Order: sequence, then C-alpha cells, then structure tokens
Amino acid sequence: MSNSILSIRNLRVSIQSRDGSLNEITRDVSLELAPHEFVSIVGPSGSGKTTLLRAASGLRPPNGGTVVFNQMPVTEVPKGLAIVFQEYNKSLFPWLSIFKNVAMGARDCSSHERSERVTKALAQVGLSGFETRYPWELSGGMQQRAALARAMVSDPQILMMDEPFASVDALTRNHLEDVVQKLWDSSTFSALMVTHDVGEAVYLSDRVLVLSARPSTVLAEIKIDLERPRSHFETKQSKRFVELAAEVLEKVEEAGRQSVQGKELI
Amino acid sequence: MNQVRFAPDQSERPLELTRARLTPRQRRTVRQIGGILVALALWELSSATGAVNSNALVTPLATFGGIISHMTALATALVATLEAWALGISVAVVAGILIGTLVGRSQIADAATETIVRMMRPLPSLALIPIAILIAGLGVRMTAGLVSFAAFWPVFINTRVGVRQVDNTVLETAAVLGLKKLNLLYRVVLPSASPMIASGIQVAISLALVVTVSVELVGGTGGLGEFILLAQQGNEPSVMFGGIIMGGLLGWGISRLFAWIIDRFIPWRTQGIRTNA
Ligand SMILES: Nc1ncnc2c1ncn2[C@@H]1O[C@H](COP(=O)(O)OP(=O)(O)O)[C@@H](O)[C@H]1O
Ligand SMILES: [Mg+2]
Repeated sequence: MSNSILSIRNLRVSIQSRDGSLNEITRDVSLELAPHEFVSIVGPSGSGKTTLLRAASGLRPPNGGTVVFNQMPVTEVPKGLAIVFQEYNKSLFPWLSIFKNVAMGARDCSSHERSERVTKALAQVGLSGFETRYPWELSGGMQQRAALARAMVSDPQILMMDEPFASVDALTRNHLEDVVQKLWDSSTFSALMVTHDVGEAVYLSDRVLVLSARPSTVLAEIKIDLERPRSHFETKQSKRFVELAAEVLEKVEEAGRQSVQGKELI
Repeated sequence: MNQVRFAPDQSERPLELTRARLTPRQRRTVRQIGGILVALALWELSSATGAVNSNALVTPLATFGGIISHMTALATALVATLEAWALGISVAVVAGILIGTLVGRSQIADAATETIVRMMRPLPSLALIPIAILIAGLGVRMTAGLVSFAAFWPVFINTRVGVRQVDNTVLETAAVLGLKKLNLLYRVVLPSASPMIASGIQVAISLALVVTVSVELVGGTGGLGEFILLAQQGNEPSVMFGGIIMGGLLGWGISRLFAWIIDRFIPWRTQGIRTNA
C-alpha cells in the first residue's frame, strides 16, 4: 500500500449547521490512489462529494481519519496537488488574462520556463490564441479548459476534479472528457474525479467508487477494464461499457433507495 | 457588452426607421441633452416671468454672463477647491483602503475599532470645523482634513466588506495555488474586492466635493465655496449662480472621469459572473 500516492483512511467529515449541531456528511471513506491511476467517485448531488474532496485535498481538516499524500500527512493543500473546481466561473480570476491565470499555476518557475509551460498547456487544451483574452470573454467550456491548463502547468502528481463538466452542454462535455483523457494519457499524474454522471465516470476511470447516501461510506468499488485509449464513438457502444455502466448505475440507485428510506424513517 | 443588450430588430420595424437608426447609447445621450434643455427652459421661464422672486433667481443667460465676467476669479476658486478636494480624497482613499483592509481581515482589529467607528461615523463634518480650525488653522489643510474625514467612511466601509466577502471558491483556488499572506492579499483579496472598493470611492468622490464647498462656504477658506459666499454678500446673484453651476459641472466631470477609469481597470465589474456556457 505504500505504493499509493494518496491514501485516505476512514475519513469522516461533519459540518456544523446553523443551529450549532454537527451534521455528519462523510462517515467512513477509505481510498488508495496508485500512481497514474484514474479513480472516480460517484454519488448523487448532495451526497457530500465536494466535502470529501475538500478534506482529501487539505482545504479543510477532516473530523476523523487520515489523508496521506506522498507519505506525508496532509494538513494544507500540498504542492503537487491541483484541483479543478466545479465553479470554473469563480475559480478563474477575472482581473487576469487567460495567460496570467494559467501562469498562476507555475509561480515557482522562472519567468522563461513559466511562459513555456503556459504556452504548452494552452495548446494542449486547445486555447492557443486566447492568451490575452479574459475569462469572462470565454464560454463556459473554454473557461473550464483554462482551469485545466492552470492545473497542468504546475505539473501535478494528483489532479482532483469536482464535477468538472457538470455545467456545460453535452457536446462540450464529450469534448472536455477527451481533453482530460488525453492530458492524463500523455502525462503521469493520478486523477481523482468526483461526479454524479455514471457514463463519464466509467468512460474515464480505471476504478469507480460509489458513495452511499449521506452520511457516506463506500458502497461499491468497480474496476473498469476497458481498453485505452477510449473514444466516445466506439467505447460507449461496446458491450463491456454498457455492462459496467449498468453495474455502477445499479449501485448508485441502491444508494438512492437508501436515502429515500432514510428520509422516511425521519 | 453590446451583443448582450437587446436592441430592437430594425428590419422588422420599418415604421420606426428614424428612431431605430440611433443606437441605444446615442438615444440616451439625446434624452440627456433634452432633459438639460427642458430644465434650462423651465429655469428661464420661472425667473423671467417673475414666478419666483426675481432678485434671488436669475436667468440662465444672466448666469452665463456672471460666469464670463468673473472668469479669472472663478478659475482661481475652482483650482483652490480642486486642490483641497484632491488632498482630502487622496488621504481618505489611502487611509480607507489600508484601515478597511486591516479591519476586514483581522477579527481583533474589527472588534477593537467597532465602537469607535460607530461613534465617529455619524458625526457631520461641518460640526468639526471648530476643532479643525484649532488644529490646522484656517486654510486648505483644514478643509482637506475635514474632507478626508467625511470621505474616509465610504471607502473604509466598502473595503472592509469587500475584503471580507471574497467568494469561497476564489479563496480555495488561491489556497490550491499556494497563495498566502501578502501574496494572497494583493493578488487575490484586494483585486477581488476592487469593484466594491471602487463603489466606495465613487461615493466618496462626490461627498468630498460637497464637503469641500460647504466648508469653504461656512469657514470662508477660499475656493468655490467662498466665491459663492462673497457673491451672495456682494449682492451679485448672477455671479453666485455662476459659482454654483461651476460646482455642479466640476462634480459631474470628476465622477464621469472616475467612472471611465473604473471601466478601464475593472472591466469585469459590469460583466457579472457568467454562470453557464
Ligand atoms: N459550508 C457548508 N455549511 C453547511 N452545510 C454544508 C456546507 N457545505 C456543504 N454542506 C452540506 O453538505 C452536504 C453535502 O454537500 P456537498 O459536499 O457539496 O455535496 P455534493 O458535492 O455531493 O453535491 C449538502 O447537504 C450541503 O447542504
Ligand atoms: Mg459538489
């Protein structure tokens, strides 16, 4: 297990609600992420995926359990960890051009190397030529690609993504998924993505974890043995993809039923 | 910007071709000029017909004459007013941003200053004239001091709120980028608060002009205020109105200039945050 780059053990996260009582969001989640592995965590909206990612990245301390990154306990966001947030429209800084936004990811580099990295990353996500534009001049899909480029220039060991494509249209989403797949293929980082989209999780991942209803635990773990590279046209029509997606979906629905039963009990 | 605005589809409205030929912006300008002309006409009518005591209310034409005949004195007064204003607003902006940032970012500083702030803020600047005269004597420093006291509050309050209300996703992004302390402050927190700070400055600018002229008028410390006062005492209403009109024009010019500066440096302010593709 010491082989894993990120090790989450028995993570528990509670959030203090307005009246002061502790609301348990994540009860017990464990996960080992191997080098250059792509893992997705699937759960319905409100199941605590963002909260889980915050604790796993060091943005907030967990209420129980441990997070270890590169053999080091995580107490703040460590170097080598990049995050793409769901709210790309707030995550890019409107006062900086696209070039400068992306360059923020490589502040440690010399200015020469920084500008080389930015140029390369923008090319990888298909945003060459937009260097001097501002985030608010770009479409949602382009903004999310800029956020991806900013994550890439730091040359991360782990890329965490929080429903990165949830708020773009279906065609843009397919395209963005392939941008991520290509980035991952051509690099060595591990990816941890949370999403509520079963197809997306199966399409991109080596492994999919399904969260139970809140307070969440890992309900199931499904290995995705689809060949790489994958394509929307072929992979998504293959028998194996359909089987795997059905398997994940069944577990997600099981989690959904749990939450309905839970509500009836209250 | 322009694409977002709804403009009437010209091809489908042939009957209104003459109206539709103007852009919304041009139409706005025409209406603004129209409003001014109507106001001038009403003014001319009410004073010329004697509807209002004609000694006090002179006609626009007479006012224009007053401005022309006292050109140099008016120019000197304007420069003096601008000087006191500029001095006062500069101190207010620097102090407001510095202290507002400190108080907005530090709970200790906030708690320590809260009561003082609540007590000082409602004090009218004009009530402080006697103290100011004791401290600074009569003159531009006294005026500027009172102006900076009055103009400090909007800058301070908006800065405090602005640096405190930085969006959580923005702060988390900064944390992932490894931005801390001073880097965090001047690369993320202050830029993020800048639209709010700019609104505060915008309010402060107009307020500062009001206070400058008022203090000059009450304290007789030179500038446009004293000019108006002297014209009134010398029973020259047309000159007095000239001074008042120049004050209005000055305020209008300054706030337009600042609005233009904001549009240049904080273009995303009017953009809102786009929430979808
Ligand atoms: N800062 C917060 N304060 C109070 N409740 C929160 C906060 N953040 C999240 N929650 C609650 O925690 C639950 C899980 O939220 P979240 O992690 O965002 O779920 P997901 O990302 O899976 O949609 C939600 O019910 C939400 O209301
Ligand atoms: Mg979420």
